Amino acid sequence: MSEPKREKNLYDDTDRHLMAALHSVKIPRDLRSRLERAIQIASQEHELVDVPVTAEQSSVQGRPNSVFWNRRSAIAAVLAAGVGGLALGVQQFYQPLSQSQLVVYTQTLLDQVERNNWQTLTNADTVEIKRWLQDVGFLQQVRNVTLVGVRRLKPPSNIREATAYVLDSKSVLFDLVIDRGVQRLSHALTELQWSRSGIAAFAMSSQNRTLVFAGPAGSTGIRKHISPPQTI
Amino acid sequence: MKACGLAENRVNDDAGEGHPMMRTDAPKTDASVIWTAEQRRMRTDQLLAANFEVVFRYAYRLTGCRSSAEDITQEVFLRAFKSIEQLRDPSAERGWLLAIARNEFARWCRLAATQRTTPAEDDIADHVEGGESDLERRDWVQSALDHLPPEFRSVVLMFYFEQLSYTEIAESLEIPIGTVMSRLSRAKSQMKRSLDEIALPQ
Repeated sequence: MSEPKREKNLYDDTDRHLMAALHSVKIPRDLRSRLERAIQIASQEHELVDVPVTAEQSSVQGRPNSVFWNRRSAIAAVLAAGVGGLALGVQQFYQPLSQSQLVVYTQTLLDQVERNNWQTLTNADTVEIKRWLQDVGFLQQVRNVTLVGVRRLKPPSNIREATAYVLDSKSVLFDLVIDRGVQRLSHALTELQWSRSGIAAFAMSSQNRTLVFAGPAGSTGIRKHISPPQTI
Repeated sequence: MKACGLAENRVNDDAGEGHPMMRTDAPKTDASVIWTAEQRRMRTDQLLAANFEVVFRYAYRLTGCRSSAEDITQEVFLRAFKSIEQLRDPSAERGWLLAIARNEFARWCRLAATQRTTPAEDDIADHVEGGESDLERRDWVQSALDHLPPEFRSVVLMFYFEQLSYTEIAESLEIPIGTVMSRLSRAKSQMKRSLDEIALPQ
């Protein structure tokens, strides 16, 4: 049995010139490795979603034991775990946190912001923070807002509460309560209308509470200032 | 950011639709067969290795923005990972991925329509990388694309980049074939004018 023959377009010299020009785009050096990393994370998440958990494991408050990993809770857990990953280290990334733990982590982070007087940071290396966010598995959920700037922030109308911790002239931490579920997080955050001005940002969220850091990345930046909380 | 009204450029959310699904090799072609995460990852990695460059180029030509192109490229392969069982014909993989990219571009445009931002500084800087002749070529072609209405841009890229026929473009965009031809003709004229202006600066 033969397939229907596909029509072939006829291209003249001008067409071929145009085709060559359209294909002439420089590829980012580490794009492939970053994409592979994203797929790896997606694969790990896929395994998590597929694997049923025991009653003992699913002791997080408010979650039914038998259907622990529905889509919403999986996203919430990954996002919550992302916060834990940032606070505690990558090794704990996939451990879902309870709400009470998350509150502690969040509060700890905010306390650190207030206590530690974060230093002035250099201009962003957006590629670096993007890679780092991939490393901790966070980019997977909020990739649309990972490389945004802070210069033209216009909060959307659906922010119920907003607290801005101004760290220095280039870095701000926003603690937002957005009237949307976690599944709409990415969309809601893109509505913040950040400009891509070269200053990196990331967000972490659970339920409708979202922390948005806007400032440079790197070992002298945000990474340096997040350390394990003392108590849980 | 460019205004992207793609009212006529309707694309299915399920990017796999409309593509041949005749794959007969491993792991399984039956949609009822459940792929393991590892199988998905391995197959997606294969797709990625063979196609990430062309997907990025396509996304870049659609958006004119490198960071958005990176986001779209990543989304393309994540979506491919999630719906890998829909791809059954290995020879159709590139078209399948580019169709996903087109869908993601449509989403990007809808999102962009709610925002009013300007191209990033890093994107502007990207344009000055590379040799002078490359720069010149990139500039005119992207500039010409940017000046095309989005529905024209899509047709141009489907014809030249994806090398789809008029019929395939018409079916994909759900518009008459005559519209495809006229859009392509007008877009070519417009792009040729841009090329002439580069070749013969006043």
